[in-house]
Amino acid sequence: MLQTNDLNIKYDDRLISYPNIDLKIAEQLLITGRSGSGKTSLLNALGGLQKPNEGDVIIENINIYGLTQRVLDQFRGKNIGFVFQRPHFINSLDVISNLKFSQYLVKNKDEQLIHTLLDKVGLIDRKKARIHELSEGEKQRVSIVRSVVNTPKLILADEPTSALDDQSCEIILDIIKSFSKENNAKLIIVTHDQRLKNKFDEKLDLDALKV
Amino acid sequence: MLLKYSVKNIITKPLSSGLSVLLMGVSIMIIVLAYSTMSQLASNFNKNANKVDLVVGSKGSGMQLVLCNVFHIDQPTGNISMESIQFIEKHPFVSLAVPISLGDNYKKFRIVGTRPSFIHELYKANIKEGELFEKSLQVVAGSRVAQELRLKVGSTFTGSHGVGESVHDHGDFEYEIVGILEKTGEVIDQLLLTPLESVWDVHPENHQKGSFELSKEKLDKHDHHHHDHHHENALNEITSLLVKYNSPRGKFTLPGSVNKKSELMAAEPAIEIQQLFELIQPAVDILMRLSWIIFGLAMISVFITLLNSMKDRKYEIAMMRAGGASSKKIFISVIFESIIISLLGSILGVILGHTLMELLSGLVLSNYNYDFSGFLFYPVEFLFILGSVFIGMISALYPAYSAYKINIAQTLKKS
Repeated sequence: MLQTNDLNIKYDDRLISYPNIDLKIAEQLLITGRSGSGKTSLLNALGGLQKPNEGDVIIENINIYGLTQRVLDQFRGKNIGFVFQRPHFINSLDVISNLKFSQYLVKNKDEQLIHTLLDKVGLIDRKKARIHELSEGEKQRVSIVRSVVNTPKLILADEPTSALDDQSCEIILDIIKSFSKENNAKLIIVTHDQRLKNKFDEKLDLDALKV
Repeated sequence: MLLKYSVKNIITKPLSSGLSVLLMGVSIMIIVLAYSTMSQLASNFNKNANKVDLVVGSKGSGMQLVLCNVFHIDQPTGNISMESIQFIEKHPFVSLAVPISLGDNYKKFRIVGTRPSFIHELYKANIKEGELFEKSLQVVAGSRVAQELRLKVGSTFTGSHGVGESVHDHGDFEYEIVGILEKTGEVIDQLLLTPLESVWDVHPENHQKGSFELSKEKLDKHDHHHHDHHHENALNEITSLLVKYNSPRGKFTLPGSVNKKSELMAAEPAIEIQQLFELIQPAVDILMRLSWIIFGLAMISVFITLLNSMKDRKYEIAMMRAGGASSKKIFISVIFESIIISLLGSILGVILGHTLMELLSGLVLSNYNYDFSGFLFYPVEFLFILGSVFIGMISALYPAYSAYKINIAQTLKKS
């Protein structure tokens, strides 16, 4: 499960107070808000990328900001998968090596899973391709595969569809949602992309909050 | 996997990585070349210098005396008479005194008039084929001369005047090879050895002379005893006398008493060679400094390459951090890159240095009469490589640190 307690994060000299979140296994939550509403800061805090100014993030009963940096790095690698608006990869490595590298970071060697996942997103033929040879949509699909190669308990996606056309947006959203279900991973998407609004049952609108 | 990542990062940027490797390679090459040349020169010179304790010749430059008569690379000085050196041969502290007489060459290889003790006692060389010379115009050839000029026992040749370039041929006198020596790796390999009488016979116009300086006075003086063959006598002249002591006390008494004579001079090879190296040393130092400058450039190149690379890679590094890579791991991967570049560069340098050394050894051989090899490796070269890797690591510290302290959230936000 994922819980937050009284999160307060400083953003552009303002202190934003967030409502508490409580997410069970395989639950999916859409967080919306216009830019500047503190969506990404919230996601970073949830993912253990940036310590909030106040409050706790508890994942699987562990207060993640109570961990040492090294243990937190490992915890993140094992339990949290990230998908960002602009996917970044190790440019010197090909697709499959990038995915293997993600597994290597947490000492996971499930190469079969990589193949299965690449197959599911229709990129098994592109496994030896260099990153710069992929289209934006393909890159985003690989980044979704990367977010689940270590079977995380939580997938955090920051504007995963904003840079994509409607068709790709649809495909990407389907993939993320199905991967999270198949892996019993909680999913949180933060976005300002209106196209996603009706695709989720659980929603949190940061614009409705008072600063 | 981390190593693979570092290697791939280097391969992805072949130009900048290549530049770093090349600069490092060239600097190490110069160091290896200078070091290798100096140590081989030193070991060759010292080996030969230790064979002779003292060279006695005519007044002039001590270094020239040594270079000419021990190493056979410089022009002969003047001549001295056999009479003037008799006291040395009888000196109680002298175990061996070998006269040599220079003046002619055959295809640039020196013809050295001497006694059998030059071969047996001074250089302890063995005869591989044939026998020792007994009569005038018989020649024992050093192994390299025989090999280069394809001389066999029974081959004949005529000498030319001078020790280097041919000035004129002594067409009337035909030398005959009677023996060939085994390879010693020393200067004797490059010499054609013949009895002292040969030199006197080939130069009938001034039979006392081993080499040059025809003085009218001496010509007149000895005109009256002109024989077909000349045997050693007190009035004959030689170029120098090579002396070995039987007691360390020789060193303190003999040079002094030789130098007192108006026509003689004594030079100690060990001291002259020491001075020679002191003369060469500044040139070597300049070369070394040059190589350090290039090495410094190589390190700056490593530094800039990595620092730029860190800027290009900050998003992927942030992404790796998000994916569970500890900052320590990122730091190590950057250090790995510099280690690989330094290792490649320094190994390239060692290989280049030795290849060039081997290519240049022919040149060195003709200049110094010594066999040089590009394939003599020194343990210190291992230190060069280790040192380069260490310094490469240090130049990667800051780039690695800049990657180490990347703020994941901030960096990803900027993208």
